[in-house]
Amino acid sequence: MRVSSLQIFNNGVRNMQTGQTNLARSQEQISTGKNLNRPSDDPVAAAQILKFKRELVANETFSENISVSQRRLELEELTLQQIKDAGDRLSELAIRGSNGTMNDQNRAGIAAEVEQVQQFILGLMNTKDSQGEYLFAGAKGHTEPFVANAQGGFDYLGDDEARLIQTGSSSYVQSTDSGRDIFQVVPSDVEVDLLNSVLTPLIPPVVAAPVGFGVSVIAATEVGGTSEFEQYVSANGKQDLSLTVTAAVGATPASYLLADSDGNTLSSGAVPLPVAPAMTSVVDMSPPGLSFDLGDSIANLIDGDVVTTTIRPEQPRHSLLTVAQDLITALKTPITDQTSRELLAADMAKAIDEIGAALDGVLETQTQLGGRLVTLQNQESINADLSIFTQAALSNLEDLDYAAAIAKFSFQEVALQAAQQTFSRVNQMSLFNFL
Amino acid sequence: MAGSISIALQGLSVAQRGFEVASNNIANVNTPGYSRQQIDLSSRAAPEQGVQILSVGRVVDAFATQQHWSSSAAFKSTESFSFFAGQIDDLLANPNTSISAAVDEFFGGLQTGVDDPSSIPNRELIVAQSEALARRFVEIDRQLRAQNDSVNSKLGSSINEVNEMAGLVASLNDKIRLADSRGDAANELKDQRDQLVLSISEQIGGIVQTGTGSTDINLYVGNGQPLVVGGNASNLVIRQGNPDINDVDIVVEVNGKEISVRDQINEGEVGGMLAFRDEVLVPAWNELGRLAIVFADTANQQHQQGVDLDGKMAGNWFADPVNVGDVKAFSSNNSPLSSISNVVIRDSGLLQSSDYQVKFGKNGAFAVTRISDGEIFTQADFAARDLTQPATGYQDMTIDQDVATGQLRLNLDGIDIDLKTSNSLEFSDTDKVLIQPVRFGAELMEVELSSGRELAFASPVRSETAVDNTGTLSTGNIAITDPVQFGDPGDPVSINPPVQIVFNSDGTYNAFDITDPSNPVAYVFDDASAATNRTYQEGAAIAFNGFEVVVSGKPSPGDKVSFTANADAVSDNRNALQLSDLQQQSLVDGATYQDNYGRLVERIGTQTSVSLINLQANETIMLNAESVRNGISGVNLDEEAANIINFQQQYQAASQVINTARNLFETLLSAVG
Repeated sequence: MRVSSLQIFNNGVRNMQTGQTNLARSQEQISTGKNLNRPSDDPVAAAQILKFKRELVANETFSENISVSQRRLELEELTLQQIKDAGDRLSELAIRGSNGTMNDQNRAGIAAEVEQVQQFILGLMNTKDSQGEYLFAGAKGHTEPFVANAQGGFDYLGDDEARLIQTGSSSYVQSTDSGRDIFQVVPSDVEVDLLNSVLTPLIPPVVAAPVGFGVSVIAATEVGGTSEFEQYVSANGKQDLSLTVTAAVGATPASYLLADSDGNTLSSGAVPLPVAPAMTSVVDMSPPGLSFDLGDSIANLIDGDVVTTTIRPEQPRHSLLTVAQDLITALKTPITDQTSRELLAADMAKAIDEIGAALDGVLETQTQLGGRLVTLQNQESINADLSIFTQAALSNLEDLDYAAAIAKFSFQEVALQAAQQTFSRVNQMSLFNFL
Repeated sequence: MAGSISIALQGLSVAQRGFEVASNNIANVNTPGYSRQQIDLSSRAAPEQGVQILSVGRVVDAFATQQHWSSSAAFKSTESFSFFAGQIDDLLANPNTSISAAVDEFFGGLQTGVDDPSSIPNRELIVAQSEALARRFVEIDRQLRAQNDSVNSKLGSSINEVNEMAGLVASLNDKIRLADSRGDAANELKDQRDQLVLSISEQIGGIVQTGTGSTDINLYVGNGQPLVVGGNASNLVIRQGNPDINDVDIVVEVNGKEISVRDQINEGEVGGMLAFRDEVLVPAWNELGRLAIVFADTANQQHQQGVDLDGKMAGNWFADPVNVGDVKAFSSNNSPLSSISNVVIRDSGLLQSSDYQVKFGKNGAFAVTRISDGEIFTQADFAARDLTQPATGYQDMTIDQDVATGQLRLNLDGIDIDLKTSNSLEFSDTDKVLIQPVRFGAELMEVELSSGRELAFASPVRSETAVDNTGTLSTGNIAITDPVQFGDPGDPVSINPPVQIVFNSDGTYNAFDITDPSNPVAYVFDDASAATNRTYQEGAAIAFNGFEVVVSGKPSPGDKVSFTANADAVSDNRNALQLSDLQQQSLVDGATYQDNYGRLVERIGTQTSVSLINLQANETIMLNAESVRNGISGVNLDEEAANIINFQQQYQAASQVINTARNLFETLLSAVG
């Protein structure tokens, strides 16, 4: 084959360039420590690398979430422990208060301490976290959750939301508890709400119920303080009842009918005429142990008018704060006779029971908190394992095998040197040297 | 004797000429395109005898030269393709510019909002992260645009060079023809011309026609449009793309007519750049635009389902991307396109990363071409639009067409194309419209929120199980199906209306509107279903007006759950959780945001690596062709040295002949004398 001189020269140059390109590439790999420096080096691996890096970043975020949650749950745990201790102190005070040897003054002293403990508990229940959010207000983090009301009790103004935090690609942990779930756990007396009370006069239109119209639970008379209606509710559920009062028509006297939501009649009978001067008439309905009062407007009812209402039984819950308030009231009531002495004993017994119930709620949450903290720890170690695994996989794809790379580099160096030497040798050879 | 001298003289002049040719070859050993020359001898017949120089010719092989040209065109094409593709390859995966890394940072930031939804610094950080993400999209778009511009300007300079060289080839054709008629071999001119043809091939490839009954070289581009024919060269002109101004068009002027050869040039640097633009740059641009649109749209939709720190229903997080698309008429159209023609993105989940072309035919016929995969849809592929449905609704694969007044509305791939003529007459046959629904998505991405307080982390619905429930009821995930029912963006959150469900003794439940809590009335369901004795299925979602909620657990008679407007819920993170869940959802063409981006990186990586392999292959082919050509036509110095020795010997021998003849003559004279 014929070869031109320029070709020999160009080939030599090209070989050296190729050698230098390879060396530069190896050098880039060695200096960056990366096997892949651009996606085209290995496109499939490049997509995998993006995925692995994403997993690593997500894992880091989850770990951050876990430590945030841990801090919050630990704060909650600490606060609940303090509340529990304060509750135990309340129990002690109630027991001391029921001691028959105490006089009014002693009890007033106890009441003062109860008040202090109550304020302490209130402060704890309204704890704020580092972000300034109320810890126990549910989602209403800027609303003070426990506030004294005009009736001497305490209202809960937060809501029932718990916050979930992501701790793994598909695992979530509850990082807050609402004050309602933890503290509003002591059942109050059963109450009734009247819904949709209307008066349907003989001549329409329909108007609101008569002034003073109301239904109430007949107070407890049975042993243990459970009223007849409470027993009815616990047996039948808090279903709506309907009450219909029909004014007298001609000779037929006024009557009432109480039915449950399935239409079964619970109580019915005549409504007696109102008694002067108050012009009220309280009608007992037993069972189920309710009474109704048409109020002073009974006189305005004319023949055939019908008053209807829906009675909705409700049993609100209250917190340790209200329990303490009741305790204070009971302790401050002077003992004058045997009845008041017995009442005090009953109030103290009730207070001790209710404190127990309230602290059970706290304990239950504490147990859950413990569980959640363990879950967080487990998740953290899972995430750590996952990180290590992902990093190893990433390193396999991305990182350079230094031994192989340096061996390759040396070989390329030799090849380049050979190319350089042959280039100069070949170019020294010329027939002209011999002319 | 005199004969011998004259023959020897001939030998002397041949040797001299040969010596000249050899020295010329040696002088041109490094001249590009130079073909070595050879002296062509023949012996004279009796009675004169001796030697004569027939010609001094180039040693060339037409086939080898052609091969060199065409392999250079292929090599240059892959070289410029891989040069540009490599730049995008670097751009997309670089951690400092990668979208994927910015998305990670965005969702990482969002998690701090999930952790502490009421924290203002966290909220500001998240807004800043989202701005960084939007900037990242804009920045990559800018870089792609810069690539496009540099391709366009490089195309311009290539075309100018080609025009200049084509002119030179044409004039060389004339000169060579003239020289040929004089019997002049014109070796150097031919070498120059070959070299020019090589350069033109390197730029645009094309067809070279040589040696058919004439000395001319004729060049053709594309499908045979003449570039150089004999002594005439046509001009290639580069024009702004029609109608896409970011594109370019290349036309050749033949007899005053312009013929576009843009799509026919696929070799040489120009071919490589055009292929890069069509196969890498534009698809990447559209893909990025689609990703930006889907990201902004899905984030907006989820964000609008939430309530901000001030208890207001949220608006858009990012600028609404539905109108970023563009509709452009071709300048060759006969019917004017109304400026109210537009393309609107209705369902970002169906979006394709492609441009579309609508081509009209006769009598209202049309064809829609999805350019990314060449899929063509015609009238028969579309059903008629149901006009009783809302005008802004999306109905996949439907048309609403009024042929006579030139109106065509199409729904496909999640976009709503609305075309109208401005003169309210029928679209003309062969009119074409280019639709770019996603191209500008990344460029126009921006954050609309101005403050972290506006981030909607809370759900608009507060669910509350009654405190005295005795069953095990609990509420799960609340899905907002129609955020407008909770108020327009910026309005305080409300609910339409607050609802309470109360369970009956038979396990069914009644739904009440508790706008007035002491006067509950039957809830009016949007779907007109009954409000009483509704069947309860544990764990199934119950659809209320504007939201769905999963209720689970066993109810006791009289148990209640209520759903009210979620005011003051500064610590609620339910919508933030939903927002952060977007990262895991398959929202872009069946993939997550980042998987979609990963696919783009992978695809461009593959294109680049394939082009690098092609580059090596084509380089080898080109080098082989060059070797063959140089092997035939290149100068070898050793050979020339040998030639010099050869001619020197010839000269010495011929001189010796003359000397000997002279001696003989003198001997004869002295013998006589």
